[in-house]
Amino acid sequence: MITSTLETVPGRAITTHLGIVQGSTVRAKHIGRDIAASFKNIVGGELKGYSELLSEARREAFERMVQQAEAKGANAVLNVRFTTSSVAQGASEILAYGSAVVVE
Amino acid sequence: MQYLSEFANLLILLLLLLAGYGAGRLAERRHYKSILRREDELGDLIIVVSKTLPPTMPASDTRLVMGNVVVSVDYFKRFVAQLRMVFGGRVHTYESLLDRGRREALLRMQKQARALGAAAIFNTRFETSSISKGGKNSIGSVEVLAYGTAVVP
Amino acid sequence: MEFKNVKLPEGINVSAHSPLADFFILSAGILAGFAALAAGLLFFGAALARHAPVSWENALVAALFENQESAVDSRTAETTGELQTLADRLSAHIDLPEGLVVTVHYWDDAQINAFATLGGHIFIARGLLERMPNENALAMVMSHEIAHVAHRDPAAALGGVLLLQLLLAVTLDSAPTSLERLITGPNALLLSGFSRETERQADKIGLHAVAALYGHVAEAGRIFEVFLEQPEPPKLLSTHPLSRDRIDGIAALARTEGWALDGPRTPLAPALADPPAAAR
Repeated sequence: MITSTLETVPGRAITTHLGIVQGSTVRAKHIGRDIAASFKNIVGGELKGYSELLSEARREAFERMVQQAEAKGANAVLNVRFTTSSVAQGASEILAYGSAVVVE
Repeated sequence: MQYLSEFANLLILLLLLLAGYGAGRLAERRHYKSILRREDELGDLIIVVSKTLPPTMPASDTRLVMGNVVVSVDYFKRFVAQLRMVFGGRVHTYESLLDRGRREALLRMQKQARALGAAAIFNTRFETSSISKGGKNSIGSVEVLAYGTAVVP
Repeated sequence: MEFKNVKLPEGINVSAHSPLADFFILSAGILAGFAALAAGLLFFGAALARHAPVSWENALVAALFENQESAVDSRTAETTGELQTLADRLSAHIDLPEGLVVTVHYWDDAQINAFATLGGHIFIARGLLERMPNENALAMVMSHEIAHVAHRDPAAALGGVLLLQLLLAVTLDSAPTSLERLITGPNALLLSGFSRETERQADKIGLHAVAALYGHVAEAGRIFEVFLEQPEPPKLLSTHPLSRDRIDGIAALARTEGWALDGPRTPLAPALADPPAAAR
């Protein structure tokens, strides 16, 4: 499965557009991370706990998007975009979406 | 004697949970049925994230179209999500909320495009935002916006 | 270039996870975790407080309550004196920690009540005195309160509750409201259960002292029979065991220890039989 933020796959023509595919997860941090983060807020710097949490969530959202593309019979997902939004204090939704296509 | 009020609170909580569970499941199932029906109708109006139109595609008119919806979860799911937030991890109960929201927003965008007689929608984008964060750490409601350019052949 | 619409299967972005199962598992987990942690803190705090030096307790009382000795009339002084005499006679049969002195105060109030607080101070209300037919009945109340003092229960309650409240303040500050609501019930259960246990202990030790002083335990259950005249809250919500259970407890302990359930009643001293009431 080719995934790209480009509009096309260079050198290969798109034969079929299969539509939009999306993958999303909602992840929450636990109370322990909360307390650790409030300490880190005093010192400043990278909140490693949260970074890990969000990158893992993003990976999962991405995999779900690819899963949808495979279910549609695509061999490439183009124009991939990510959005992060906070749906509740302490929980974020990661969305990955793109165009599922068949390239020759 | 003062403990009695705390137990009264617990009872009210359980009643709300029960109501939320029952009514919430009903509402969600109804919504999904409607979503599946409309996806069958509007499915041939392809949504593309890419910007560039295929050169051979006829395009007499291009219009901005969008669809938005604000959805909320029922009391039961909200409660369970908050408990989940103590331990962290994937919040399953919100997944269906956002899935419904996104699909609903896409359908509304497609409806607008279909009314214009469009063949496809290009350069689609999503925006999700929490409308009211509710009380401490609780989800209030979420707005999903989908917007793109409808291409009329 | 063609456009093809392929229907997507459900279940990729939404996992088939039963929220009901989640609810029960999470609630059970949180309640169990909280119960264990809270119980641990309560007992630990209480144990710590019990072993704290008596001088700290006395100093705390002195700091909190500046000596509020207003002019007492002779009748009140006489009543207080008689109460103190009874307390001293009973204290001889109870192991008091070093440095902790029992001071009894006459509390001019219509309530049928008595309590022990920090520093060995015990308060007996007029309402209770008026319902005591003889010294034996009063002695059980008195020795129960002295038992609390001897076991350092006021200090333990303070320490335990303080530590527990600290835990709650730290966790609940950043926690969602549903967590708070879930916890308040079990929290109340835990505190009342803890309180009931200390009351049972005080009953036992108090009864030992009464049996030692009089040679029998007649009238020891009198105060509980007085309580039974009023409706009582259900057992689990109450800070004290049910009065019926306390009366039964006395009978059971007397049987085990071989104490006589009946015996000559000692009459109350006049100052106690007719306690002074402030002029309205």
